[in-house]
Amino acid sequence: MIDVQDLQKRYGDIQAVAGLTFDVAAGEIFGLLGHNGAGKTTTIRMLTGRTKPTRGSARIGGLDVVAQRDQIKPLINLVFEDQNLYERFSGHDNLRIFAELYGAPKERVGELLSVLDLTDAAKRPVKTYSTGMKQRLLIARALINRPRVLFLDEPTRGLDPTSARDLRNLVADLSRSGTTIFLTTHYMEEADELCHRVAFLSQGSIVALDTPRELKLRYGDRTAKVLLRDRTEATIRLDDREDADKLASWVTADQILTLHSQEGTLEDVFINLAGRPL
Amino acid sequence: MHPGMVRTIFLKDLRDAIRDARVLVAILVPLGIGIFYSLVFDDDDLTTTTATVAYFGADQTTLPDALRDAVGEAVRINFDQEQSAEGVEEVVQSEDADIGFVVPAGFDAALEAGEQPSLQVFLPENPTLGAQYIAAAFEPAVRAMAGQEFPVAVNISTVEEPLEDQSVLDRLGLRTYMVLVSIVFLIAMISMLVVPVILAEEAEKKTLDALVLVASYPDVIVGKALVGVAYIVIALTILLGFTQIEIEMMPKFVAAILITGVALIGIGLIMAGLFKSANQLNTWSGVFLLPVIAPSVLVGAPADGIFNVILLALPTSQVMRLMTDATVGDSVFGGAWLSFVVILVWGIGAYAIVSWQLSRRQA
Repeated sequence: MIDVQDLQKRYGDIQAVAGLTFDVAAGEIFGLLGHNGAGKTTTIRMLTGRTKPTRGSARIGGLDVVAQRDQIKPLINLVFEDQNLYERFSGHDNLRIFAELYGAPKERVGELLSVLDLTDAAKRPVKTYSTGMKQRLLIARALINRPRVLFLDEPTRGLDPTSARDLRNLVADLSRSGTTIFLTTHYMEEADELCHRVAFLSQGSIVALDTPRELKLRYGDRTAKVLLRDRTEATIRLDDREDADKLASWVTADQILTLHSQEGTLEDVFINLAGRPL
Repeated sequence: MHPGMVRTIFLKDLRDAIRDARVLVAILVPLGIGIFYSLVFDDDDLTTTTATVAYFGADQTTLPDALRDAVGEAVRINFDQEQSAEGVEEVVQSEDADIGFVVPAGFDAALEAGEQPSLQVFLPENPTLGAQYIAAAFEPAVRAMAGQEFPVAVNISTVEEPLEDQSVLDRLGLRTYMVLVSIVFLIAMISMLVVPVILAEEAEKKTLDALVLVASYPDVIVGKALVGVAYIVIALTILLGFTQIEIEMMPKFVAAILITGVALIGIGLIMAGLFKSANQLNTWSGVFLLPVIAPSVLVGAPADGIFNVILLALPTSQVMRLMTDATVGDSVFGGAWLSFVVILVWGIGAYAIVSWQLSRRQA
């Protein structure tokens, strides 16, 4: 559904995006993770046609994001990082405006307000909404045209845990119904839970791309947590010879009460690859 | 360009912008000033003298009419009939009247009978020019009432100043002139403050990013420009409706205003791209609006050399020239085609720069 080949963006002397190559299948949830300034938002801007790449190409649904931008617009939508709503208008009017712009039927407005649990607040000005309500309205706006590809730029930032969980459930439902999701986030747990594949972006380049499980297995620290009969706890690095010998001796001496293997977290993987935490 | 999207953006902004206090003030202030000027000033020749004359008549008298005939057009008299002689003296003393007189009972009949009735005239310590003129007109007035012929038949002819020697104020009248200046103020405020504030706020709040996800930048620009045109049309209709100034060539008048409005909106859109926020733009508006409006006030003033060339090159002075000609129905300034060309060149240049700004935004 999304096909990116050597996508680059340069602002003067600054190489914001240094050459990205990846593809995203239809219905996949693809996560792009990286520090602030790594190039995530610039990548989304190029894929949504708001910024022209310096080099390289990107296609969505087989259509070029630059040359065929007008044809792509009805296929995509974006939940922005900023809550860029018309605050003096009501929630209903915010959706109605974009329904008109996209040529969506009027009924779609009521449908989305109901799905996102905003019907009661629909007639109130958006400036009276809570952060969670505004975020739900942003999502409703992004779904107004039933996009085939939905871009989400830090969608759960600022949300309480319940709202964040509800949003993740919604994203998963959308993916199951065939919508391709392109997600950027700072929250590793969210990427781990939601994404079919993630790419780590560092200084404009992808340093790793795979399923979260494979990334953890490949780059994560393999450890085991051991509880001994004398109630001593120990963490054993399975790749370390000394620790492995220690473990073997405890097994032989029947000293082990419990033994739990531990995968590395995506955060550990990112630190190992990018050199610093997100 | 997508007409449907332009329409949606236009209607959205038409409804929303007026709820912004900055926009409301920017439209109401010049509108209010225009209405205020139309109430305060009149279109009489600036050399016309006026005078308020207070009087009391013990019975019916034709002296006020005779006085008005004797004075003619030299002084415009407003008569103020009081209830008593003391009342007349009081209003003259308090300077609410320029001069006053008290007519005793039977005055007219006594004059006709050849008698010499008395007439009390009250003149302030420092009489105005009008009061002095009226004081001198009592004699010819009462002579006419008494049926006495003047020893000389004086024939006074008014020699009109040639049109080409008349100032813009003379041709238009002060009231109409000030209303036209207010119209220039109105166009400038809407084009170079209201429209850029609307666009700058969209950019600042990042709603512009949401719009261009579906619409194009030209769709957005045209939608907002149309909002400016709509506000100009609405405000102008209110102003002209209230002031009731007489315009001889309405199509030329409206065309001049609309073309200037569109051209200045282009300049306003450039400014929206230069300031980081709508508030910043609002703060600096006084600085850039003054040099835009000022040339319109200088139109018709004696100007030579480079100063005249600069005036001729500016869109607001050209629209003032066009509006003056259209109001009078005559070529006070002439060269209407040149005026339109100057305004169009400004507009084309402005929109070319706007296009370049947009292309940089997308780059």
